[in-house]
Amino acid sequence: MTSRNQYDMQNPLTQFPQPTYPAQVQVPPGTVHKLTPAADHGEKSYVGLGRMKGRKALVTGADSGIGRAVAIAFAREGADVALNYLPEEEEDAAEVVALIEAEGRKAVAVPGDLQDEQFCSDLVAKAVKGLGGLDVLANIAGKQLAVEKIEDLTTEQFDATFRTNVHALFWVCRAVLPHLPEGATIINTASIQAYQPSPNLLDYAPTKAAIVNFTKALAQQVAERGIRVNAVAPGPIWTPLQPAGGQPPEAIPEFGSKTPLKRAGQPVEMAPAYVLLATQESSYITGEVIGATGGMLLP
Amino acid sequence: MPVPNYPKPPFKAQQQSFPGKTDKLDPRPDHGEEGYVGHGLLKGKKALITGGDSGIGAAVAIAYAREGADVAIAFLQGEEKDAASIGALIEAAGQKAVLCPCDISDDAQAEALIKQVTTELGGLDILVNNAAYQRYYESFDDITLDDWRKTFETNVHAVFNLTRLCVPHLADGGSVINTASVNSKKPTPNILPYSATKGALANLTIGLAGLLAEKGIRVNAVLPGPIWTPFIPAGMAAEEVEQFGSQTPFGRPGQPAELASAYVMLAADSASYTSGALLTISGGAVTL
Repeated sequence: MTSRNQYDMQNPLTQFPQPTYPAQVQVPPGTVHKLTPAADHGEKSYVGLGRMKGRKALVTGADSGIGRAVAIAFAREGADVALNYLPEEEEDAAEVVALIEAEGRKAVAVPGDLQDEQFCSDLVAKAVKGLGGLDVLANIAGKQLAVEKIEDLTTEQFDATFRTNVHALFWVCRAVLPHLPEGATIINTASIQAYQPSPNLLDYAPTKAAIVNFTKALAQQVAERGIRVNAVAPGPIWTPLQPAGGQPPEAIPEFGSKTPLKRAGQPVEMAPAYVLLATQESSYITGEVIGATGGMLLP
Repeated sequence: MPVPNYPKPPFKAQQQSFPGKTDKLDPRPDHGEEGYVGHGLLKGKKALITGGDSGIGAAVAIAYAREGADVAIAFLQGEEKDAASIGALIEAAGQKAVLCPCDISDDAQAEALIKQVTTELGGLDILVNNAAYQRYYESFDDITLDDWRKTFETNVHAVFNLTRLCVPHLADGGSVINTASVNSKKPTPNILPYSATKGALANLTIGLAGLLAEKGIRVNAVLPGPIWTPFIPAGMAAEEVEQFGSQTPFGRPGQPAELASAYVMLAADSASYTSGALLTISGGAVTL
């Protein structure tokens, strides 16, 4: 792991740990503390430059993985941040709250399950109240559980994956839009899986294809309101979601090795795309999906 | 505001001869001369931008300099005036500017260009393959074989050749950014050769990303939609210029300044896991 900041030039092949990783399994939803090697969310390396000064952001799935890296980056760039996560992820989330507050920014913690439509409305209301408005929404929370055979994929899991990844996205976007001023942005989290589905992610991969499509449709619908909607499509990223059932245990040691960069991506490497899409710098970008895949192909 | 006070169609019908002059474009495009604020994201880097005298290349040159990079720009002979004004802005940002008139489709000139740039900048970290040739054809019969060849030599062959010449300098952390187009995915019939080269360039970008990963070089592309540059009245019918950008959800063309941040992000080392990406900037005109 590097102690240099994110702008110091280094070889991306060797910048972060490379496979083989130790075999490991976690209970879903997983915690950053049981990941070996530890993931880098930019706690030590992300240097903010005031690019989001005065902005108010809601980040779902902000306790760990990509959401944690984005929440930290947004705060370091000067934004106040409302964080959503599952109640059982309180310990990881509390650390993110502390990191945000260490930047002198406001943190509003709103634990709860996005599968509940009413909660999605309450989440937006609490974030708006806590921050005095919202102008960035980063939908990052996601559910992924690998199942090898369709016969073993339960209707409950299929439903829960779609409710978390797709329905919740719709519910949160619908609730937040009346609050968003001109210039606000929504950033969704798609995946390489939207384009190159893994056979054992028969529920998860289609949710990501839906997110790509939803992003492009909503972007066109709300363009006239002066609101932009985009997505980031990560490749294989080193987050607790992976050993917590997102991958079969035997896939963890070689996780990310098939990308051209031959390693898993780290959450901190996703943050720049979210920051770019959140700020006014990207004023003509809407309906777009930015890949951060270690060289894997998006169409 | 994503729908800022940028000009909307209808524009004045206008034509220029290729490659077009910034001063003759009405309204004048925004390259970020007044608006772009740097944060040191590219401090100490050395960049070469082809077509850096006007349009998107000019906006990227200004942004890179304000982010702390020394910048070389390559441009066609005859574009010295536009190039000098961008060179002055690079120097005003406190960075070194190297101005290189060059026909990048000529192999000998390309080789001399890279030799000059790497010598004067003391190396190279970022190559932005941005220069391109585009011409509008009323009908298929107007497309000559010479024009077809010229389009591919500038837009595809030169990109490969410049990348080839730069790779030894870019190893272990360098970045190549190609300017493709929404035409890469959705061709416009009346600019057939151009659209075909942009399809090739998107494909080349992904292939290069795979092949150059082991050298620690990232390769990505930006796919602009309708952007207000001198290239437009030089490469389109006058009546199409009038309504340029009106088909996007934003109802206007993008300004070069609005593309610079994507080129900065892709060049900065913070995007260390981003390679092989095709980033569309189209005011909501979606591509898959």
